[in-house]
Amino acid sequence: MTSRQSILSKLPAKATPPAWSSQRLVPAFVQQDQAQLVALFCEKVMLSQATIETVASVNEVPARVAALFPNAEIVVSDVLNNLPWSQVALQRVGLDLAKDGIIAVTDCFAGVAETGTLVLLSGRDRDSRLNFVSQTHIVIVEASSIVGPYEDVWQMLRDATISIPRAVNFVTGPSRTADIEQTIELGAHGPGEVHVIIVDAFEHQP
Amino acid sequence: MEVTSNQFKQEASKALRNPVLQKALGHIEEGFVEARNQAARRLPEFEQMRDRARDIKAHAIDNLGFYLSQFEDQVIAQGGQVHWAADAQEAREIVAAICLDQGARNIAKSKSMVTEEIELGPYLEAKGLASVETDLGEYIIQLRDEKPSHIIAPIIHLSKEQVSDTFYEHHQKHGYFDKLTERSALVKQARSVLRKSFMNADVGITGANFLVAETGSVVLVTNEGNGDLVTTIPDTHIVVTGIEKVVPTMDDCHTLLRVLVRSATGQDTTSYVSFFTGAKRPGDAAGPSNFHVVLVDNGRSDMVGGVNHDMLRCIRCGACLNHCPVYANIGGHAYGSVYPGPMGAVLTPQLAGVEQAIDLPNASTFCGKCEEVCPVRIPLPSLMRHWREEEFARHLTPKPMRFGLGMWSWLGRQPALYRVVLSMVQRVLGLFAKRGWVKHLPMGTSWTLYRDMKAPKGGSFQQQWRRR
Ligand code: SF4
Repeated sequence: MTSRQSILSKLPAKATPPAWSSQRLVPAFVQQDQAQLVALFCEKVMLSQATIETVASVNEVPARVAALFPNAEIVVSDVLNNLPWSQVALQRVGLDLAKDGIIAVTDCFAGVAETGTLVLLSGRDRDSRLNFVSQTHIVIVEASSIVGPYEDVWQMLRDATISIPRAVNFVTGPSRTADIEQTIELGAHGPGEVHVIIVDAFEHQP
Repeated sequence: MEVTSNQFKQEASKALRNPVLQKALGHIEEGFVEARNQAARRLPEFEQMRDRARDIKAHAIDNLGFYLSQFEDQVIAQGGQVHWAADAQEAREIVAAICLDQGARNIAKSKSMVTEEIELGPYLEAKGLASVETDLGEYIIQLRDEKPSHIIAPIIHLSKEQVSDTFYEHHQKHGYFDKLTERSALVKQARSVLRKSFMNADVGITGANFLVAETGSVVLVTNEGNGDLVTTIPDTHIVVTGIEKVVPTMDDCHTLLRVLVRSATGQDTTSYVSFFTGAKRPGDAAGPSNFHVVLVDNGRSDMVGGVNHDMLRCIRCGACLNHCPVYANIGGHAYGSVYPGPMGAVLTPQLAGVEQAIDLPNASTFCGKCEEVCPVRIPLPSLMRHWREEEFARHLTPKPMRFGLGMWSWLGRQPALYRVVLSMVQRVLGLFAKRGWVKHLPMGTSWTLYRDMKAPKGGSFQQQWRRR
């Protein structure tokens, strides 16, 4: 008998799906209209020790990044290649894992107002490593993609008929650790700074 | 599971006399207890969510076979592989075989209690595989060749100065020769040293906080981001986890996440909650090509339907440790098990054998605080009481204590004599009392060495009752 069989033989196994209704139990404070959700999201992003700002069009993002980090070297997610990067004083470079202090710019699939959380997907033009090796992570969020509770993110994926990607990362604020004397320090292994830029809808592939 | 829990009494005495440890344990109150209370208060639905969390886990355990099979099917459908390990040895062998098969040299690990339980690190090392712990606390533990003393805060027993000494000793080979005094500088130095470990790793090993049956996803909750580096840079990701971690759906998972994080660190959410589903898809920019999940039984299936069935609901949040007056005074190492505190007092005898760990369920005042804060409402005191009954039934109790208990129960059945003896004891205790406290007792030094005893006053309960 294999270990699989011997373990399963000791467990209450039923071939048919057990009767179960996964009732959603979401906090009342996230049940609001879209404008309120965006405001709540901004509030929670700030609580998470990230910064937040809004620009009118996604084409303004490069200029905003350049204003934040003039003449800096930046690594931009391929999915954002179409933005007017060449018109601003920034140098786009490729990802060098050996280098610390990377400034990375990525998009995200959704924002969750409940805790100011950014939801990032892995994919063809989305290198998940950027979310974690950078020292500074700049994330673009579409206003219409902001939802109340986490559960809505999975519904959005189903609605968009996107099959679940390898990695779905829920990111809230900078990386932190409280291992030493239970006192919080930012920037443990992941980004020590997270900047969120909210934009109106823009064209980008799923 | 190897434990040294039979040295509990000696280790606990040592811990009480260790001033550095005592100071370090002082951080629990503000860092964890107060933070958890505030987080719970911020969410009006918290108690309702705990009920729901309990029900979800109870349902999943009652249908464990079904959900594990469903999880397995989904992982395979997404290009991953699932391995089943009956015990620790089999789990270690599976992991080592995958690593050797990949021709791996360097392994980066993210924190996982199951890998501590099965003692994976030393085994891999013996096979010539270098594995580096990348969670800051676990990394420091590894450098110091110690065991974690808390399930979510592995170095809660250490001071900043001790961490500084450890880095000073071990980081010179990386070109760092200064003794650091600031916490932020220590964190920064560990970041740059460990960055190389992520880059060079051929295999990343993580645990799992939950497994989602409907999608085959592995859920990882961290604050540092090391778990995500370990799973995106190396070409192979191995998940080592207990079979009790599976839940039916994503919605269920989020309910559990809401109570887990608040109970553990008092945050509303951690910086990172990641869902890993299968291997890298064709064309993906990054991610491991090989995705393995090792489902570890190691005594868990024996708990199903038994007296410790409810313990399978445990989501390893650590709240019962943080709120335990015994843990808060002696820390985790005295328990002699990677699972300390109330949850460990139930789990360790189960996993290592009751003869190996009978002191642990006895190390409780039954104040009930652990059950009060447990997010999945595990009746920890009742489960510990069960072990004490088992101990008595199996004659594991030391002879003098057994004799004493026998005398006590005999006396309790002679009401007149009981009253006489009790009032005598009270008078004797009164002789030793100074200003309402007994500071020294000739036959009770194990009590008075570390704390005073309140002197009885106003007569026995029965006398006071009669006077009302
Ligand atoms: S027993 Fe309850 S409180 Fe203790 S670690 Fe497990 S889930 Fe948390």
